[in-house]
Amino acid sequence: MSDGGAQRGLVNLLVVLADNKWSLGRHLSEWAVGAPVLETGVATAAIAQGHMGQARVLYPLLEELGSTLGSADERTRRYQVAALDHPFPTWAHVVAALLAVDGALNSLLLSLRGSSHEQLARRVGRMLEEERFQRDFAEGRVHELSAFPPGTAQLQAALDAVLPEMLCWFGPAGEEGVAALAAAGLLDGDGDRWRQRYLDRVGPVLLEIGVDLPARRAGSTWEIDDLPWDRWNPLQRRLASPSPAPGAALPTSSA
Amino acid sequence: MSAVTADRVRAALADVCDPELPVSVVDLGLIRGIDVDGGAVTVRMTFTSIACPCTEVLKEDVAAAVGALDGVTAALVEEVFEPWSRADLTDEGRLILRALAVV
Amino acid sequence: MTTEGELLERLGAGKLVEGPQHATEAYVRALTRTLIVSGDTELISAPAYLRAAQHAPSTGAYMTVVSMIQDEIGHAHIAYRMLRDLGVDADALVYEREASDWRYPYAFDVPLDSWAELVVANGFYDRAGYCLLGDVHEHTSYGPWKRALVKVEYEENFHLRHGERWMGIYAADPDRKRDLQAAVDWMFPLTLEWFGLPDHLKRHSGQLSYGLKGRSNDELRQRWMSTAVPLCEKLGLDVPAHRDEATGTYVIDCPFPMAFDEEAKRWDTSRAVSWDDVMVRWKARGPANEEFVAKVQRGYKQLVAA
Ligand SMILES: [Fe+2]
Ligand SMILES: [Fe+2]
Repeated sequence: MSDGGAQRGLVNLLVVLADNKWSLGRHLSEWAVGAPVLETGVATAAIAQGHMGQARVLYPLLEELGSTLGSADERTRRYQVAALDHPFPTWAHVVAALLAVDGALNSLLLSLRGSSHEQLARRVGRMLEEERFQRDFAEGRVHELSAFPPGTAQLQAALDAVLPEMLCWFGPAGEEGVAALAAAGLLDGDGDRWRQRYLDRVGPVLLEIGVDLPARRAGSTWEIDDLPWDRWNPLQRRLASPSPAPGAALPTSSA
Repeated sequence: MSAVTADRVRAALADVCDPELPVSVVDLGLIRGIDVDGGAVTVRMTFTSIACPCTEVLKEDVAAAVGALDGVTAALVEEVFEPWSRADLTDEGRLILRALAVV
Repeated sequence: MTTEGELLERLGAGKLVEGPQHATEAYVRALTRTLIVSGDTELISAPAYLRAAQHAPSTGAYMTVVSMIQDEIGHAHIAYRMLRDLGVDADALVYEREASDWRYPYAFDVPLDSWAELVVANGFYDRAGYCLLGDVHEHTSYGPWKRALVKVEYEENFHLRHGERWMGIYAADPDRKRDLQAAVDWMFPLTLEWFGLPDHLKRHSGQLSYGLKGRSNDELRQRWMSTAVPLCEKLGLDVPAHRDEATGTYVIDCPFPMAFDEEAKRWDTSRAVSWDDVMVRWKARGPANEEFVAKVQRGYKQLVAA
């Protein structure tokens, strides 16, 4: 790759993707025990392995790209969204993360499918083998949850914290680093387009069960409420946590 | 010392089984290439699914089986991330999995 | 339902019971009891293994435990599904029952706190499960269970191979071997207890006469020792049992039963106790009983006001 800036941007993006997948898998696995239906517990264990497996596909590639960060289990700091900082306190938080966090991660993965980085494209292809299963499982859990009387209200409460962060997660409009990656053919799209595609993905199933979204349909696009950009940390790609931990920016250079 | 050949390596791999199934990595269709350079052997392999927790164990077992061959001085396993489907099973592999009602 | 005479005739002819229409109330009662123990044992192993998985040495190792947990919940589901088919409210059983009413071996009430303890659990407890289920598979007169066990046994075998593999890795390193031996020291006698009262004290439960199992408690204990003891000997681990060459059977070399300090995870070899004392300990359940049952029930309880 000729463009060093694009490569650094790519490494950062992949660390973020891998760490989020890793933490998601880890927290999900803890709910294999405790899912409100036994069959769902079995599937949660399988899904959790899929997420950890996806992270495991990316870490060796990061090393090949010159990153010295190592994998998530070798460090204490993880570059993940605030929604994944702690174990999920309720099953509704699990369902919210399955749909809203993973929906965002997979949306971005889809835009890496045709990457000009051949090694990356191949690995993303393997990662996306899990995507259909993950998406169906998430939507199935939304419906399962809404069948319990307090389920929808609990999901709404969990999503109120998660959705704004995930909408920010695609980055502000015209983010420079993303534009450089797109120009190098490493990925496809930009923050605004990803946000729209993301809402196309997660919006309908939530509206169907009566969840309020921080966005509404306007013709073929979504009109999005004001997002909490004042709390957005572009280097760590996350919202500042309510109680900020000693901050460490994602290294911008591996050199 | 006998010469190391891809055929000998493949024969050795016919004894390496998935820890969860009595099917060898060869019959599962996981072996995607064998490079022999003198005593140095590189086995390129893929896995049935990235969600499978068995990848590390299988890589270790493959490296150990190849390393134990007479004449091999270095055994390397390279994961290639190629897709896998049931069509990659050998007839033998398909037979065993069908008997276990897995496929 | 059928009569006792017709049922015994059916069993005598070597035919399987396929549902309540082939059985008597007493048979269904004995089967229900047996399935609850099986379902509870499978299910409680999931929180027990999940807790220990926090000590996994790598993500790959952690994923392997998650895959075993997936198997165990699946095994539990098979048992509860059969209970549902027998008319039992399986949801209430899993999600609403008091922790102290669960029926699984006491061993799972003692938490596993290290990777060494987890892999010994795979080597010992999953082996015990394998012995018991193998016997059920071979002998049970209940058709649906017999057929379901082919896959279960296959997966159980994988769990115990996982245990053996890691016990081998730990035994090869002097420091880790000490941890391994410490785990074996408290877990070996606890697994001997797993198989229940000795035959001469066991009251008749219908399990054997209805062909729900084939071997007695003592026979199953022997079967477990016949592979667990050689494994430990091969790895250079001390266990309080040996094979008697003259009879070909295994002899337990510690007081059995024995007093157990569940907080310190230590046996008091100087103090023999009676089986009545052991029954009191079993009935009171152990340190992790409430934690594990709460873990299983938490998602349901958040959604269904008790
Ligand atoms: Fe099991
Ligand atoms: Fe097991």
